[in-house]
Amino acid sequence: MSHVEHIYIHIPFCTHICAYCDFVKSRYQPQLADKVVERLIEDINHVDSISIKTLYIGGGTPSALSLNQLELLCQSIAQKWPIIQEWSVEINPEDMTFEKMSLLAKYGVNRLSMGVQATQPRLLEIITRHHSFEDVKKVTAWAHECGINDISYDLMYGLPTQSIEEFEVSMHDVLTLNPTHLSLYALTIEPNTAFGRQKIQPVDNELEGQMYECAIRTLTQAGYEHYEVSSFTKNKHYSKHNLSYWKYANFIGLGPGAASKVNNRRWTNTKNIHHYTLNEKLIQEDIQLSEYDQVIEKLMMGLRLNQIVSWNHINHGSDIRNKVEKALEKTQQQGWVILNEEGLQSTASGRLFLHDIIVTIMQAFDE
Amino acid sequence: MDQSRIRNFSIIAHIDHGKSTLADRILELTHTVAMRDMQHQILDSLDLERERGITIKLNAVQLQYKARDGEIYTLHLIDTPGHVDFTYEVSRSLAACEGAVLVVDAAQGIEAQTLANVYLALDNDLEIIPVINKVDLPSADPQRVIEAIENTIGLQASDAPLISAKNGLNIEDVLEAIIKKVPAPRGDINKPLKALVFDSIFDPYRGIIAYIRIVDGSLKIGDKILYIATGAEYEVVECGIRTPKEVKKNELVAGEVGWVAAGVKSIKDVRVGDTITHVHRPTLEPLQGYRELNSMVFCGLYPTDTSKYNDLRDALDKLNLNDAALKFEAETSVALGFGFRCGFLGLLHMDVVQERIEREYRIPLIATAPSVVYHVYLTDGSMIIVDNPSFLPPVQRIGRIEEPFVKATIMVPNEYVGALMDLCHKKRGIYIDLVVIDDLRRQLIYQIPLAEIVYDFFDRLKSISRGYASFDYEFIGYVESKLVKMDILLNTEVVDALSVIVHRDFAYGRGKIIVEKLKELIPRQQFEIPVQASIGNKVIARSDIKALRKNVLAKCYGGDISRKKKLLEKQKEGKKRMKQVGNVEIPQEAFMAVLSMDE
Repeated sequence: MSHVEHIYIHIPFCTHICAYCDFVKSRYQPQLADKVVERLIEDINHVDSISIKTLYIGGGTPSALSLNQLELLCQSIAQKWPIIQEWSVEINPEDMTFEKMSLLAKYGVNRLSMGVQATQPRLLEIITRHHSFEDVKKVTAWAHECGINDISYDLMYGLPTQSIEEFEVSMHDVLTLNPTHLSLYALTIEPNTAFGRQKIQPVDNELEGQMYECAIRTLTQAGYEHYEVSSFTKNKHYSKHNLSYWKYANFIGLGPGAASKVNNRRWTNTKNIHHYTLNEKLIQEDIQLSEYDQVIEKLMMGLRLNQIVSWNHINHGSDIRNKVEKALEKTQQQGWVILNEEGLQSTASGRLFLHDIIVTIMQAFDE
Repeated sequence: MDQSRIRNFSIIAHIDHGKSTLADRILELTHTVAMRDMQHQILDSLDLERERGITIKLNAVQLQYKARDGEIYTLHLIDTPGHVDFTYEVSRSLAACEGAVLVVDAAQGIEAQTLANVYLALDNDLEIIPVINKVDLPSADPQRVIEAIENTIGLQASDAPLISAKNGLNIEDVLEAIIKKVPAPRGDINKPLKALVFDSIFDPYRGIIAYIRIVDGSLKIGDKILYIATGAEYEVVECGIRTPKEVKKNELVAGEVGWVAAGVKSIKDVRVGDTITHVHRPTLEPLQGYRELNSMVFCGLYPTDTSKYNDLRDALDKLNLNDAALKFEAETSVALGFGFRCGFLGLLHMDVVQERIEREYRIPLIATAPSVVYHVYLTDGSMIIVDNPSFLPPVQRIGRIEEPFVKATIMVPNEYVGALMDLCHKKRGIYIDLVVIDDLRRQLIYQIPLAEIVYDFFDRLKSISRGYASFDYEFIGYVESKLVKMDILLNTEVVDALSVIVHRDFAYGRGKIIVEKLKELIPRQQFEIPVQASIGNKVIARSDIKALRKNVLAKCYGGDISRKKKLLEKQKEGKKRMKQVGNVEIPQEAFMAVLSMDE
């Protein structure tokens, strides 16, 4: 197996379930969480790579785990990989404690991703988040106190009844915390969520577009680099782990529902938490990626970045390059992509219509 | 074979009254199909038929039945379609029989379409055997149904077998009734060959296979045969029966129903309704063929992929082989390119043909909204026939326009009579009569423009009556109406395939509905698209499809790649089904939007 330098660990628990979330998760249950942590530790010890560059603990909500569970997990990670360039953990201000924070710092966690979503109590209630912006400030202060200074905040737009002004206020509130990184997500209504079941209608594409453009304006003015469709950073604190996805590096995901990609194979673990703990029917999907799959995925991920995707990275053959160049002739005229000898890159306006660009390329491969 | 022990029969029933289930039970009971091979509703061999629960194509099966009198009888069961659109096919199968089993649901009672088929059978001089099905349902009321049959059709029904096809109850009674009441064939085996072609299919290896009923004489392998109407001569390569599996035989004789393969490669040589005879000893009296039916509904069919035009022509040719009611000729649309204007007996027929082309021939289609045939009298006194709204001449040249009217017969439970009369009035119907069928039901008779029926009449009728009303119509003639052509403009260009002919008094309302519907169906594109409805140069309704601001998912990390790619693949597939008109991409459903009538 190739050397894998990026590990994702999925914690499928939350203190409560948010109305919009369709990740693999369940209400936190101490005994079940014990078993999941136990299994994760086994999996960690089974990973071939003896050194890795990034590790990301996501969820669900990793901070929903008990102090003891977090300790067992972090201990095993630190033992297996004493040096990790970027070790991120997702946290929810609602279930974070100072003890948990100092524990994370002690074992080497050096980056946090905090779910803020909005700063208005009114909107937080609509999306069923149980924290306030005061909590966010408090947890941020703890992080700095413990020496974790690389903090990314998540904000959402296109929430039911949310106005552009409210979204702007949320951004300005978060900017007062001087974040190194921000991720902005448009709400998507997924069928298997409370919002989906309540048949909440997504906001008008027009308003969503205005909010997105407002975000780009606000954050760029505040000195942030818009380096990926939804990601902004100051002073080049890119999310190294996420960059590995966008650059199509190999990665291994551990935990229920987690996906892995190594060379031309991608597999996804079972979403069933019980099956996962029992090591039963572990793999839900296992795909061999064709050359076409890989080309499309490299472009689908790579063009999200404000960076050149090199021809070399996509494929060595000139056939593929010719096809992509031909397919994107019109797209280039529209000013959505730039093509040159080195490779191709999406423009700011092109990134707004990335789906159309990829579908155009897919159509060319069909012919 | 002794003709006195042959019985040829069809089964007539309304959709869902249990015709195919009864056929299954009969096949089981006569051991024609071993229980283990039983596939639910075995006679319905087209996928489409099994899915929709309707029978479209005819099927003929030979059965052996040992009757209570101890004799073994050969029965031929010839299946008939149950829907009103397929009247033509029903008459084909009925002409090959001496009797018909009329299946009526013990709870629902007799329905309008069944009535039409019963009259057809009576016209063909068939012996009709009423059978009351589903007597085990809690809501069954066989006595009331028997009385209704006697009242409406005047058919003696007091000794009708009371059965449950689903549970196999009293199925033998049906077979016994067939043997007692249906006359044996009375052909003469010694006379020159006279065989009726009642269906045909195309087999890529053996050419065209004709389904035939031998009326007189006999036919065997090696015989030189003549198709009288087309004048085509062939030599019989194979012949046989179906059980329903194909069984080869050396000879078919008077009274029998089977198939014949004679290496016929040209579709034009075999015509359903034709008579087959021997070249050397021909019959002097060909059988009476079938009445050609006029197409009632027309629509344009276009391949989504323009390079499939010739494939579409081949597909229509092949379908035409056993569906003579399908008419088509080449036409061109500015918006859609090269395609065909196709004529159908009705809406279901149109649906079925479209689906068969897409499924069996794998040609994705764009269908324009159906239209009826208008008689347009010009100011110079001449008359032209218009079956495509975009060909309606300019208003200055038109003296008057006449549209086809039908007589609609609706059978409906008493409590829905008022609501259905309302519906008929809204559809520009003219009240003719209201007849009492029994305590619970009435028969409504209206004259209605066919164009209104082509819209959503049937769906509305069903929803208003909670599915209880049944409906049949027959063409009665042309009547002058105040009609105008309404054009639809996308991005200020007229899309000819979306033009409709509407009644002037309804134009404004319908225009509004259509532009709103199009706004809903056409996905946002990168520029704003005005959608307008206009009469002449006057815009009567408008709605704008706003430009798309962004089309990218906010989140895409390692775990999202698979799902995201599938989403994009789906979008790509969706685009295949869209038609580029000017610079606007229009999904297939949009071409049917002119049918939407939501009020």
